[in-house]
Amino acid sequence: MRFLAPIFFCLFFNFIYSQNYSVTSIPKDLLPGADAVVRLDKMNVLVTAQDQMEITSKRVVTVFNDAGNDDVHAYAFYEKNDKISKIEALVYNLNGELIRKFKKKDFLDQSAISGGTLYSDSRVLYLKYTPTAYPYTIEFTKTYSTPNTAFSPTWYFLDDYGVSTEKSEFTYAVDCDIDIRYKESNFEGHNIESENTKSRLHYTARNIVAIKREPMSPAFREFAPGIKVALSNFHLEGINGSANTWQELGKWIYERLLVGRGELDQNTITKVNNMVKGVEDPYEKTRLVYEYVQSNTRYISVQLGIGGWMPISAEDVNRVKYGDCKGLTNYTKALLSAIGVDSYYTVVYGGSRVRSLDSDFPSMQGNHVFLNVPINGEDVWLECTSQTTPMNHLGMFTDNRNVLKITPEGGELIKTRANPDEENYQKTTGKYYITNERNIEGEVEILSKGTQYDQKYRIKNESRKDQDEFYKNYWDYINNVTLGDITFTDDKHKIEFTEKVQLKAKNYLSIANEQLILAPNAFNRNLLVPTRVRNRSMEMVISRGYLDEDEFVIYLPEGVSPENLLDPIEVESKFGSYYASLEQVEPGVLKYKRKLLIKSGRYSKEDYKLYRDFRRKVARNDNAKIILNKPLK
Amino acid sequence: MKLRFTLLFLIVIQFGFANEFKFGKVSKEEVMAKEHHLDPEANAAILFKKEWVHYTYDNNVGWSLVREVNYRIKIYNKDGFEWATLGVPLYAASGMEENISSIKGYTFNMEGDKLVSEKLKKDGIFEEEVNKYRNKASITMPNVKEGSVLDIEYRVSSPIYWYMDEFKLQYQIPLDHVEIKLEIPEYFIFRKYGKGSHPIEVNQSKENRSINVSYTTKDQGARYIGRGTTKHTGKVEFMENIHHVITDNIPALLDEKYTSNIDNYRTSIKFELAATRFPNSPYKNYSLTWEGVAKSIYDYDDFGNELDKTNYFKEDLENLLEGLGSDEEKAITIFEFVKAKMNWNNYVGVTCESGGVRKAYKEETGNAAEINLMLTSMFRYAGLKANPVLISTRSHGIPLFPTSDGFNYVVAALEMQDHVLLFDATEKNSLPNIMPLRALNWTGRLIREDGSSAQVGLMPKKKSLDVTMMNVDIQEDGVISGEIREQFTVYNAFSFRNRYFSVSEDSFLESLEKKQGDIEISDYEIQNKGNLSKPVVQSFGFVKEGAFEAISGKLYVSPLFHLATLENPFKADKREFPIDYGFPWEDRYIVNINIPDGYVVESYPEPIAVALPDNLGKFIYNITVNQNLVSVDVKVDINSGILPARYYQDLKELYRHIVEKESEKIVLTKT
Repeated sequence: MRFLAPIFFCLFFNFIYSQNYSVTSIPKDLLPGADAVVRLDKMNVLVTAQDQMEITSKRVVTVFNDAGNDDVHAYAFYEKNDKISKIEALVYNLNGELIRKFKKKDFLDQSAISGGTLYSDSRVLYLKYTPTAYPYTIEFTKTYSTPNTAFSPTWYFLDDYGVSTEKSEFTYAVDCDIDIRYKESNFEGHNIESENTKSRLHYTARNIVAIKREPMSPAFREFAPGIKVALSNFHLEGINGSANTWQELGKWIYERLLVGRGELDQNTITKVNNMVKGVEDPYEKTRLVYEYVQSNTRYISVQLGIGGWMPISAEDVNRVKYGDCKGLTNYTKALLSAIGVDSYYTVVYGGSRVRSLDSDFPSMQGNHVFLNVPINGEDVWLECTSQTTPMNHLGMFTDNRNVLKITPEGGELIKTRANPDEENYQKTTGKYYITNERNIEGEVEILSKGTQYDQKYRIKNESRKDQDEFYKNYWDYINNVTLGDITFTDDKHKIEFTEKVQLKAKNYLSIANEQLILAPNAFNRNLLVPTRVRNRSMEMVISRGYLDEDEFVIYLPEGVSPENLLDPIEVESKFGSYYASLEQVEPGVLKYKRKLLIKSGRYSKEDYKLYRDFRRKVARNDNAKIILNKPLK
Repeated sequence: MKLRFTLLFLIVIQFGFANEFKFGKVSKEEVMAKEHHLDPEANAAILFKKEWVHYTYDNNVGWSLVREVNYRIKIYNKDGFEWATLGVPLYAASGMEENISSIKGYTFNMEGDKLVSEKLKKDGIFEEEVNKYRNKASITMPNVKEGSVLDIEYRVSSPIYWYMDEFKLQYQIPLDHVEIKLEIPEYFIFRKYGKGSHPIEVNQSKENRSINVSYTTKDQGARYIGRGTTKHTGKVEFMENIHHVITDNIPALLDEKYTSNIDNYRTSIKFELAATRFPNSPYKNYSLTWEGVAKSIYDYDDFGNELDKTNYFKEDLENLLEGLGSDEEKAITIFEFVKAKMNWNNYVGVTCESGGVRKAYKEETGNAAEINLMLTSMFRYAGLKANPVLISTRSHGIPLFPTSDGFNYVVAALEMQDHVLLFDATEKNSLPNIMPLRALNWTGRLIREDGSSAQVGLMPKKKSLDVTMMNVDIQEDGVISGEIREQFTVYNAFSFRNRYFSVSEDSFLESLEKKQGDIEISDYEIQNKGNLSKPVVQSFGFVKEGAFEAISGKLYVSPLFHLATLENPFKADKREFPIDYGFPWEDRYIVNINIPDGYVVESYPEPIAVALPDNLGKFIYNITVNQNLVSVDVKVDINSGILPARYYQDLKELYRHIVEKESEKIVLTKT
C-alpha cells in the first residue's frame, strides 16, 4: 500500500490548488461592490528576543478591475536594520493557472522618502505588474525580520473600502519571556475565531463583505475589525524599553529619548533671558519665546534610525535653526526651560480627521509632536513647526483628541480642546450698489475665528494674482468679477482674521422681459449639498460645526423698486439652523440678513437623508431671487 | 579695430563680474533688502547663478565633464524658505555615476547692524539613491530666516561627457544675474539652442589648452611570452571653444491654467553634441537635424532591429489575416488584435526594454515603443505601407530643436494615398487617428525603412461633438422631469469611454448625477459603448428639484436648466500662454420644454450669435415659442485645439456672453 501514498498526496495537493486560485471558487456574497477579494491574508509574527522579530506573510488577492490593483499590496517597506529574506509573487489567471513568476530581483528597489521629508533611510521593494486581463489573482509572499519590536504589526481583517476578505489569518507568538498585550476592535457581527494562549495569539476571520465608501462616514479604522498587539519589553533602534501603561511608556520616552537633548549653551540662555527681561506674565514670556522660534526656525524633516523617534538636540537646532516636529518642539521646550517656564513634549496624531491615541491600549502611536505649556491651570499649546500658527491655536490639525503628554514622572493621556460650533465663526458684512441696472459694486468685510480662521489666514501671504483667483473662486457664482483693494488684518492675539475686499461685477443681475432678477445674497452662498447615497449603511459624522452670520445692505438704482421681498425663513433641525430675510429699510435700500449654524456630532445613517434635505433648503434659499421693476419710461 | 573692441568688451565683463560676485562676499545691502526691486511679490530670488562647465582628462578614465555651480539666493519671506533647500539630480546609468563634491555654503543674516554668517556643515547634506537610474543630493542651509542670503557652491563630475542637461535660465522666482561659461575641447563640437521669451546672447572665443597624458602601448612584434609594454607620456595641445552666456533680470516663470506644459515656455539654453573630431580618428557627425535624429534612433538595435523581427507573431498573424481582402480590413483587424492582446505598462519610451518585442508579446505587456513597433511590424508583414512615428509627449514638452532626447514616444502610421493614419495601441479605446492626449503634441517624425523621414501633424483636425437633446416637463413646485439623450463623437467619445470603463456603472451614474447638478437618474442606457467606430450615446430619464423659481405667481425658467454654463472658466485678467484644448470641439444643446397647463409664455430671451475673430469659434443661441412648446438650440463651437494667447480676451468675452445668455429666463404667467 505504501506506493499509493504519493499519488494520493498529489491529487489532494492539486485539488487544494485549484480550489484556492480559480475565480469561480470565491463565495458569491463577497462579490458585490468588490474591486478585489482578498482570498487569503496570512501573517505569522514570531518574537524570538526583545530585539528580534520575524514576520512571514502570504497574501492572495483576486483583482476584478483597475481600481482593485491598489489592493494587491505587493511591496515591502524597509529600514536600514530590517532584513527581507524572501519576497516573491506569482500571478494566476481566472482559472487559477500560473501565468507569471516574480523573484526578488524583479522587484524595484527605491527610496521611500515621503513628501515633506528631506531625507530618511526608508526604502521600498515593490512589484510593478501590468495586468494583462481581469480578473487575475496574485499571490505575494514575504519574510522579513526587524529588531524594532516597539512596533508590532497591527492587523486588520478588512483592508479598505471596496475589497472583501475571504480568509484572514493572524498569528503572533513570543518565543522568549516577554508578555503580550493585545486589543481586539470591532469584532461584532464578523466571523472571527480566536485561539489564544499566554504566548501565542491566533485569529482566523472568514467571509467579510466589502463596504462601500460613503460621504461623511466615520474613519475606516473606527469600524474595521482589527487587532493591536504590543510587547511589554521591546526594542527600538538600539534602545530597549518596557512599558505596560501610558505612564510607563511616557517615562521611557522621557528617559531614553528626551533627557539630555535639551542642553543649551550659556550665550543662548542669556539671550533668551534678555529677551523676556521685565516681563512677569508667564503667558507673555511664553509668547515671546514662541514668536522667536517662529521667526528664526523652519521645518526640515530628516529621519535617520533612532532619529525617527529621538529629537535632534536643542543645541543642534540652535545652530542650524531648522528641525522636524520633534527637534523644534524640544528646542522650544529648552528655550522655555531656560526662562523658567515648564513645558511638555506631547505626542499626537496630527491631521484634519480627528484621531485619538487609543486610551486603553498603550503602545507607540502618533505621527507628530507639539508642545504643552500649562499656565495658570490651563493648557496652552504651541505648534512649533509652523512659522505662522498663532499661540494656543489648535486649528484642525490637533484639536479635540487624546494626546500623550510626556513628563519626567511619565506619560499622561489628556484631551485637547474642541472648539464649540459657535466659535468656528464667520461674520460677513457688506454693502453693494446696483449700478447701470445690471452691474454691482461694493465692499465686503469677513471676520473669521476658530477653524474658519484656520482656513483663511494663509491667504494674506499669497501673491495678488493668487488672491484674485481665490476670491473669484470663493464667489464663483458671480461672473465677471473685478477686484479692487484687498486688505487683511491678522490678529494673532485674539486669533481673528479680517478680510476687506472691494469688488465690481458686470451683469450680476439677469433680465427677464422688462424686469430685473436679483439674488440678494451676493457674498455668502452655501450651495453644497452632500451627494445622494442609496441605502446608506454608515452613520454620519460632522466632525466640526460652524456659525456664519451675514448682513448686506443693497442700494437700488434711482426709480427701481422690488416687486417682492423674501419672506423671513427659519429652519430648525438637529443638524443646525438657518435664517434668512430681506427687508426694505427705506425706499431703494434693502437689507439682507442670514445666519447658518451647523452642529458637529454623530448622527444615524437615516439622518443623512434629512441632513441633505436641510442643506438643500439652505442652498435653495441662499440662491433665492427677487424681481425688480425698472422705472417706467 | 573691431577685434580690439571685442577684447575690451570681454575684459570689462570679466572685471565687472569679479566685482559683482565672489563666493562668500555678501553685502549688507543684499541681506537688508526687504523685497525684490522688480518683483515685490517674490518670496525669494536668485541673485546670482554661475556655472562653469569644463572637461578634465584622466589617464585611467578618460574625459569627464565637470560642472562647477554657484548660487546666491535671497530669501524675502517665509514662503521663500523652500529655496533654502537645493536638490541636485545625479544620473546613474549602467555603472556610470555622476558625483557631487566640494559642497560649500554660507548663510548670511543681519544681527543688529552686524553681518553674520553660518557655515553649511555635513549634517545639511544628504545623498540618496532614488532608484537604479538616479541619485539625488539635497543641500539644506542652516540658520535661514526672512532676509537671509545664501551662497552655495558645488561641483558635479560626470563620466557622461557627451551629454549636458538643459541649462535653466528661468525659475519660479526672479533670476537677477546669470553667467554660464563652457570650455569645450575642440574634439567635441556642440551646437546650441535657446528657447523661451527672454533673449539670450552667447559670446564665443577660443583659447589654447594643454594637458599631460600618459598611455601604454603594446610592444611591436612581441615575440616574448612576457609581452612587453611601453609607457609614454606627453603633452597634448589643443584649442578650446569658449561659450559665455551672461544675462540679467529674467522674471519669474508663472504657471497658468489650461497650459499643456510650462517648460515649453521656460527660458533655457541647450548644448547638443553635433560631432566629435579626435586626432587620428575620423570625424564623426551626429548631424543635428530632425532627419538625423530620426535616423540615428532608427539605427538603434532596440528600435530598427526590433521592428524587423517577425517570427514571434508570424503564426498568429497568418491565422488572423486569413480570408481578409482589403487593406483597410487588415489594418483594423491587426490594430484591434494588438490593442486586445497588449497592455501598456505606463512607460513611455522610443526604444524597447531588454527582451524587446518578443518578450513583450509573450508577456502581453509593454512600453509604448514595444507595443507600437510591434503594431508597425505587423502592418508591414501584412503588406501595408507602415512606419513608426516618433513623438514627444505633452509632459515631455514640445521639441523646439533637434536633440537626441527630443522624442520619448512612438506610434504607428499607415501612409495612405493622400493622408496618414496614426495608430496608438497603448489604449484600449483608441482608434485610427484618435490617440491618447499625451501623444497629441504638435508634430511627430515619421521614419521610413530607407532612413528618410517626414514631419507629421499630430493635432486633431476633426471636431469632437457633444450633442445633448433634452425634453422637459415643468411641474409647478420647482420640479422638472424629462429625458436626456447625449451623443459623443471623436475625442469626446474617447474620453467618455475611458471614464465609463474605469469604474463600475453604479459609481459612474453617481458621478453623472453629481455632475449634472444633483439630478436623479432612471432607465440609464448606453449605445455603442464597445463599438468604437460609432459615436457613443447615453440616454436616461431624470428628475430635478429646485430647477426654476416661482415668484409672485410667475415662473422664471432658465431654458437650459442644469445644462447651462454658469461660470466663466477664464477668470484671470490677462494671459501669457496659449489656451490648449487639445482638439477642436462643439457642444450643442437642443431642449424642448413643455409649458404646464394654465401658463403662457410672457417673455423669453432673445436669440444671439457671437463669434471669435478669424473664424476660431462661435456661440449661437436660438429660441422659438410655439404655443405650449419652447424650443432652444444652443451651440458653442471652437475650431482649433489651441488658441494663441492673443485671443484670450476674445475667448473670455465669448464665455461672458455664454454665461449671461444662458442665465436669462423665460417668464411664464398664469392664463
